[in-house]
Amino acid sequence: MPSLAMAADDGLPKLGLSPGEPQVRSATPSIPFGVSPAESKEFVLDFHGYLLLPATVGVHERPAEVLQAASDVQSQVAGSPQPQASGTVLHSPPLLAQDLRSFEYTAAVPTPWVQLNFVYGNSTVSGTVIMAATTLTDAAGYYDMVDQLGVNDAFITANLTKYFHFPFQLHVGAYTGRYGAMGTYDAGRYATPLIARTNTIGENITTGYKLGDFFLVLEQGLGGQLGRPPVGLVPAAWNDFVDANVGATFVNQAHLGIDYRRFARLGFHYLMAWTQDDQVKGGQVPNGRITVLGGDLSLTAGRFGHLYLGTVYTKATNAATVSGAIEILNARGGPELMAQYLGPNSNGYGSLTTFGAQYDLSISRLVFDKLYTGMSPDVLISLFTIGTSVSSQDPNYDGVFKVKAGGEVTYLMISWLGVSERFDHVRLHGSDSKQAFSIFSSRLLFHTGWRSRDEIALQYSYFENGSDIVALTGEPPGSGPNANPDRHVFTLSGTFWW
Amino acid sequence: MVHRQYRYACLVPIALLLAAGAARADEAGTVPADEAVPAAPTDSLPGSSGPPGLGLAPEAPPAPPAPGGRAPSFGAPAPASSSSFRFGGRLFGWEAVGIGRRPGTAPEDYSGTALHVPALSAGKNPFWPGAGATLNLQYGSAIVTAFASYYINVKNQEYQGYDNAFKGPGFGVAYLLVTPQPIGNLRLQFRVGGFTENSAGPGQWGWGIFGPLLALRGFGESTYVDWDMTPDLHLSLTHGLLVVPGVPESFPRGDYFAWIETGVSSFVNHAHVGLTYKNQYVFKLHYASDYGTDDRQYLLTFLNEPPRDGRMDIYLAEARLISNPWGQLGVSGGLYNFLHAASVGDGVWWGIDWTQGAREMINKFVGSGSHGNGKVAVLSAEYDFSVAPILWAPRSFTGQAPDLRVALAALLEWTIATDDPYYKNASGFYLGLETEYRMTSLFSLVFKSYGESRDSNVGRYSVYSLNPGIAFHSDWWSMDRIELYYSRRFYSTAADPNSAQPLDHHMVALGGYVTF
Repeated sequence: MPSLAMAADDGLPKLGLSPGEPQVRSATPSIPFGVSPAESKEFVLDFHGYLLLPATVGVHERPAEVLQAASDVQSQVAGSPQPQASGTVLHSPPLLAQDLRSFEYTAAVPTPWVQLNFVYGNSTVSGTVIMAATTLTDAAGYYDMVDQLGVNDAFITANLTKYFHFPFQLHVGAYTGRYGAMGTYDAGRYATPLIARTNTIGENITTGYKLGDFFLVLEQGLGGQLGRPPVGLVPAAWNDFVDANVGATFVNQAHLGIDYRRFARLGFHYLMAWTQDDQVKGGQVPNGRITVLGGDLSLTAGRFGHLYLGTVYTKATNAATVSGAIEILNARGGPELMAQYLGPNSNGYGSLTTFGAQYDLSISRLVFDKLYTGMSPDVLISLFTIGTSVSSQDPNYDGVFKVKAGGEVTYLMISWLGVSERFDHVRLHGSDSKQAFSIFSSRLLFHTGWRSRDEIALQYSYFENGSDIVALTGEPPGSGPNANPDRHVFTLSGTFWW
Repeated sequence: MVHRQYRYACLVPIALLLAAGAARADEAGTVPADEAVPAAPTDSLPGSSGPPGLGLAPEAPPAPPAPGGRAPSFGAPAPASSSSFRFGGRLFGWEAVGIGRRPGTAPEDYSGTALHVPALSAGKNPFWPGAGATLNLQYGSAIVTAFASYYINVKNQEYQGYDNAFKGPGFGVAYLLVTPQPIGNLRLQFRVGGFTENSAGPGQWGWGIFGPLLALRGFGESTYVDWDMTPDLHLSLTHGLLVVPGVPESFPRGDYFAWIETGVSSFVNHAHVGLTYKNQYVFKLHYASDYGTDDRQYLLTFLNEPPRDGRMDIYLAEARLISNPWGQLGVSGGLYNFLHAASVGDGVWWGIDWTQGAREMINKFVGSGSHGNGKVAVLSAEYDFSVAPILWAPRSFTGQAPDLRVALAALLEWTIATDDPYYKNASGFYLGLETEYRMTSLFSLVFKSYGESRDSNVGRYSVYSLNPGIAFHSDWWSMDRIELYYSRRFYSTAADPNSAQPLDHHMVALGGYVTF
């Protein structure tokens, strides 16, 4: 449909295409020549968005040897004043062992995320474009094209329920699939889908069948990535240090769920990401595969809160060539699965046995049940954990057990103010306390109403780091000489969604 | 018995915590809970009712719940609100062609006229070059509003010969603006997110020809207080903290990314106070401190010195007189103080004449031999007026008739302390004149002229330009323009030192923009 500004027929014959025409070849004709496409007043533009915008400062003690090194450099530069570096360094972003792609990530310290959703369509069909970024150009130290995701998702949704007389929804396009979301309406306190995440362009069908109080849900999806890194591509900052040895990867998935009166939902998940690409290492590499089998139970128990329990078995077979079409515990594809869990000498073979749980409870809802409308003081309690056991061909990684657990208590005292305490403990290597750390976070929460969707949070986090805990820094990210992680982190964040 | 007492002891604090909740829950008891809390949505699309899925909807952000888990997550049931969506922005496109001069190293048989795109020029132009758009998206209510600004620039090979990934697109600004209900004559506002703050611009709308004397940026907050002390006297206070994340020391520079200063962060503390009398007389004081703790391990600063803690402090005053029909006169001035400022990032985004951050301010005004220490004083003034309102007075002029609009600006700067011998007692001035004669609702004659002359380490750096042009617009009040400029430019040797590639003395520019 042309806009009003473009629709006016000025009577001038055109000798070329309008510059506003899409610069792609025409779609296969679905309408006879000379027949106008259908017009519908049902079509609407829907606009949604989400902002999470933290300012974060880490406080760091400058090591004595670094101060000495600065002094040594100083002595080599004639004519400049004496160094005046203080013992305290302020970092932004803070130096933390909180890499999103690794098990150590807890989401206790927020990081920026900006997302705008544009949906255009009617009750049957709609198109969605999601633009996203993990930074803001005007506020960042530099323009990092990797952080500016641009159009992050684009897909068509067809809801054919009214034609089939049973629920049927179809997604076609580029979108993410996230299974094992531990929160009621989000990915959980760790922002980590427990089962898996997929990043593919393809299709996904969701359908169901009602059997009395039960609702049988079936999801099926098939997709692949748009491309693969060209052979010989050098890892660099602009390509997010890509591993060019991964092949074109596809994901096949099926999910079965049984929902009981929206009180309990039992889900079974199967995903298989595979590559069979002859361009990887001259075609000398066998096919790679990551297989995921999982099950989860979600109980929305009214006044007794929300409980999520899940377990998943992930098997990697020559997974080094499997790309980020699939993410396991936020680790992209086989290369990151190896780097984070299986080890560099695993050859991409191994498995993870993972469990996760989250329990959220509102004390006011517990006490007052349906009399509580969310318009009065409340205490929110959340307990959460994820653990995984590694089986690998790499002896240094085989048998490693990683676990993280935490709790959060939030007291909403008045309509615009609340306080919150969160505790996280992460163990990266079983009982080895050198590879463990704890986070104590205290927050003041400001909001514009009891049930408002906005929040301004002032947070202090204290990190108690084991001696072998390092923060990734630099380009490419690694543990450099100044990778000693911060202990004190101050955050001021604003969040809002609509 | 002991267990029972313990149980009671546990219940007491819970009862106290939720006491108000019980009272209000009782009050709300007549309201069915199902009405008060909307049912869970089964769809994520307009008007559709999809089946429940087994994973998160693709529309949901990959983020945890808000800190504390209080704010409901994306897609959670929430009461309907009276929020609205606003879409604004600016679309622009400019092509500027420089007409080249004969190089000093040209062979004897050199002939022809070189055309340069982009034009080889220095100094201020009468337009912002390039093509693209700024899209401003806003959603919210009178109490809370989300704002996001998206920057798009034409960057493809089709338009400029190569794909310049550095040009974006990307989110530039996003923040949350909270405006609580007024407390009597006191109004509060809070801004949290990533944004910019501009101050001390002498222009009519706060910027002016030579820009604000202080522009800040970063992630953080600003708190605004407005108080109507009397019906005529208005007090405003602003305070903010901003953080500009640093760049890793090992970050590759100058390839796909700009030549950025690595290893430094910026922490900005700023405060402002202003008085407005009868909406005609404005006086403001501005203070900002940009602090950096340099964490470089092996790189030296851009002054080839070891890193250290540094700061850049700014003290500015601003006065403005608005008088109908005579226009507005703005004067801003103050001091920039640099202390080991080579270790400071660019939390101060713009200083004098859009000069970015501590690094460029040092290079331009206190010199590379300053060790990052020095003081620069500045005075900037601008007078904006329109001839027709003066002639029409006492009748009111609506802007829907021919008019001559004029903006006159001058900026003076003095380096009053530096260790760099080239910049001791250095000074400079900037002059600007922008006029537009609106002849008809569709057509204007435009003339703009700029001058810049300042001391530098290679002599007096001077650029002057005369820029006549014509402009087309769709109405007297329209926000669209198509403009054609010719620019005659004059340079000193310090500004145009390379005889092998001399700057263009002539430039032709065609472009336009729409603001909405």
